[in-house]
Amino acid sequence: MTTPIQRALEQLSAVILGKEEQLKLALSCLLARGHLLIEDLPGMGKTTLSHALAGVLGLQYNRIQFTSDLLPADILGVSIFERESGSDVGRFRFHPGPVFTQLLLADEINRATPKAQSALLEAMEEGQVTVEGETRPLPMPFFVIATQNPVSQSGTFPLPESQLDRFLMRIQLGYPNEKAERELLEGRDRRTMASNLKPLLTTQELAQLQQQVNSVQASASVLDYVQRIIAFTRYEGGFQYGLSPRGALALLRSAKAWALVDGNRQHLLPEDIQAVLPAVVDHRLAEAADGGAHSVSQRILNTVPVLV
Amino acid sequence: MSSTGHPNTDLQIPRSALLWLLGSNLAALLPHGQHLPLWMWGLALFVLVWRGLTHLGRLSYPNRWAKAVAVFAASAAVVVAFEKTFTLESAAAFLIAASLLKLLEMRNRRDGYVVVFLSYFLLGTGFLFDQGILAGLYGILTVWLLTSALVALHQNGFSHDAPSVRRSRRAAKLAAAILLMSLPLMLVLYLLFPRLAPLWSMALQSGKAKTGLSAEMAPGDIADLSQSDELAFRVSFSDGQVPARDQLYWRALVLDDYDGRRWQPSGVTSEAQWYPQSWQPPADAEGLIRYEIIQEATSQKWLFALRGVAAQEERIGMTMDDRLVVRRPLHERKRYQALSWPSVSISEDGLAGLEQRQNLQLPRDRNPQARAWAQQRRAEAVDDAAYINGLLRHFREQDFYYTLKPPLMGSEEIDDFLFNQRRGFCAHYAGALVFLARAAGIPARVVSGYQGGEWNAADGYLTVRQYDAHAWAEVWLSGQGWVRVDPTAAVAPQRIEFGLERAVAEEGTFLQDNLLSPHRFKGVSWLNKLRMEMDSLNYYWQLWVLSYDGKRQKSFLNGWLGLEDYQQGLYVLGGSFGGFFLLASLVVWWRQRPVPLSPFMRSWQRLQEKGQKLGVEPQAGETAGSYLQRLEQHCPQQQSLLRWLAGEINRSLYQPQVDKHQIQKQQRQLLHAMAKVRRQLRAGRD
Repeated sequence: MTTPIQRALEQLSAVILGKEEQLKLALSCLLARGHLLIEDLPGMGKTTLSHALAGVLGLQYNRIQFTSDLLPADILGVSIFERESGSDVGRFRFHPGPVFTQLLLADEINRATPKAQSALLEAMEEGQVTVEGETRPLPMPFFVIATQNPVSQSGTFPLPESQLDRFLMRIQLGYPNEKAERELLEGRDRRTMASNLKPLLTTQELAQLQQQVNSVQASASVLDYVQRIIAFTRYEGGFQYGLSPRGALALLRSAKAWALVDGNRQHLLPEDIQAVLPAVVDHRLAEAADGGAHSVSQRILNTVPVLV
Repeated sequence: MSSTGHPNTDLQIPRSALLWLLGSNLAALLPHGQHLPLWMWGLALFVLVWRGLTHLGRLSYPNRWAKAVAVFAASAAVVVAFEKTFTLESAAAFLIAASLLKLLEMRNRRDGYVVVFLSYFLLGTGFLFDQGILAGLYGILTVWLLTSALVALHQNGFSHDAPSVRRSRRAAKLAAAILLMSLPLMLVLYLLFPRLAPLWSMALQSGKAKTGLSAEMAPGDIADLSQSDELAFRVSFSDGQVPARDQLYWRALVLDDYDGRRWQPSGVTSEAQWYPQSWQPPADAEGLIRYEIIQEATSQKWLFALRGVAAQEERIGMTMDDRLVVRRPLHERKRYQALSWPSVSISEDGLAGLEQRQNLQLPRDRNPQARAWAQQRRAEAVDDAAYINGLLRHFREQDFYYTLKPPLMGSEEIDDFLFNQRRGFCAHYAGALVFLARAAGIPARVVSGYQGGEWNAADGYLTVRQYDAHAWAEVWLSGQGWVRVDPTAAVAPQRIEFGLERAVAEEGTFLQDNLLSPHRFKGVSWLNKLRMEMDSLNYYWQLWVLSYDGKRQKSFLNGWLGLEDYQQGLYVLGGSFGGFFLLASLVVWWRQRPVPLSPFMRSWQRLQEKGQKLGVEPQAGETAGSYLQRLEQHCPQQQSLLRWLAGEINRSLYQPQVDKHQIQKQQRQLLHAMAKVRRQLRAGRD
């Protein structure tokens, strides 16, 4: 018997070819109630991925294209004076912005100014927005999938650390392999496929799965390993800052979701930690000095012993 | 300074270490305050302010020319200030000036070392001037500060988290721990390190600064001395037999040559017999006094003793005129035993010709009035003793005054004193009496030394200070020999019975040049008590710590440790050192010993060793599962077994179990499973 998660994965990989790993990470991220940041060059399938995720999970979906002249009101919504039909009296009515949705795709988030970027901060952290002095709750569940172009490209405002920290994971898609590329070239338009996906989960089932993530158990040996990693980032690794407690919790939560997605397991293995580590810590840590060829997470993986 | 490119010593001084460096350097400097010229403090202030401003980025380091000028100017200033004399003070001042200037170019860690080590040395030099208990405690404090500076110098600047206050506290803590740990070693060194006699010695202080008896006496010298409250020596009496205060005449010098103004030793009777050849009183003699003296450095060869003294120690001699001497000037404190028989008769059978002539010597044609008066009085007296008593009665009954501020005498000093002024200090009275005795044909001499002292009843010792300096007379009477005659006792009996303070109370001249001396405030009881407590602390410090010299060390080694000679002492010293470092390394090893592995890890490592032999190297940061997977690729025939083991490991280590019993059972099973896999691997290889 296949679980809903496996079925969702199957559907997704039919649309996004040859990216099993990233799909699993993206799904884990959503199950762990985290927001996802996809970083890659334009045209690598970022938008398609988020579109497909929304479709499969049966979520209401909105998309904001971030530009350099985007204003907070364009995201959150605005009150407009409206005259009631047939009368002279009128009143202000709030027109909710695109943020009021279940899955929000913030496309090319780093093309907008910091002001517009931070309009999303409260929404992501608290699940609510405050406009004109009034706090309005966002629908449940609320996910943000943001895409960004590599910082080296022109016309970008890099996200500050505080905002990067709000994203549970950051993943890269990368070029497809040869076989996937060929399939892509032969096959149908991916966008259409994505929009034609049938929802596999109801909102309630999704909430149940999220609940299940919390109940995945972590043994003392695994927690020891997590603590060794954290201690390494703080005291030994030669990073500018170590992992914060929020970062540590993010690592554990992502790994639990991964255990569920990867093998439908009810307990954590060190492999789960290792699988999500690059996506969770790479955007939270910075090398104090030039770190060389290896990424931050690779250095952790190659150094911190699993068994002691 | 640093042209060598050593990576460690080239490092910049950490900012939090700078305060330590400047502060501890200043602390090492402070004890030298007493003997430094005032401009030196100006230099210190200037240097510290400059270095502080450099630290804040307001000023740059001085350039090469400025430094050269500063060194030249400071050296010249030292030479000028000390009038080209080479004394310990001038040497110390030069050292201090150099160490201050070093602060200006203190830039990297290497310079920091130089400053700290210089300061240690400076601190050591301070003990040449003052070895009191306060100086000792202050020295320990400063050693702690300096060590903290050294620690702070090694706190590197990478830790962003610690503010400098916390880092400084850490440095101080670590330094204190280091010093405490080295305490046993310090004690061993103190007790066992060979006490070598100095190879050379040098005048401790320039004569100007040193107070004490001088080898000759002009009227007024002792009055000057009486303005000083410095310690001269301390005495403890054995068997608790403390002589009465009016018997405490501490003899130092015999002055038998008079030139009309000054009294000085002629040298006729100063030849010494050295212990043990010298005379000793019979053991059963009446009224023997045995005592021990701790004498401050005098830069002179004489010791202090009561009348009828006999030398008791090696390298101490006794002269024909009943004094103790040593061969070399005393540039450091000396502790010695002495035995006196005050009631012994000295030279009662007559004086040798030369001694007789010397003790009758008077400058020709001086003081004719006194001379004539003496001859007339002698003619009226029955015998010599009656004549002398008559003189004392004359002093007592006529209008003579005892004063610390005597008027200036005319060119015929004794005439002027006896017949006009009639005011004088002990030296005037002693000189006049000896003159009058000699003029009447009675051999006589002036003796200088100290009289009295302050008795500390609680701890049983006598403290004699410079203001106890005194001069009196000795006359030779046939049948009795040399007899002490103190004309001061006739004029001012309080001086002998209660001390100088009481004798000049009316005049108010006691220590009047020394306004802040605690000895002026003996009336304030708590202050006096405090002073006495401090004094007795210092006494015990001297008795138990400072006077531990080669001789006492030898007896300690002999008596306490049963060691016969130095060689054995050195063995013990070496042994303690070795033991100390062995102990220290044991402690360090114990602290850093590897944590014992769990049974699972031991078994796992053995499995990995097996795998290693098959060519599968374990990697850091690898999970058990992925290692077993690689192993599996290497020997596919064991695939099912290895997969099973991976499952077992994951189940045992990572699948949470609530039941404790279950956990133990699983662990046992896991160990069995791993042993099985190891056996299979070996079998597969063979």
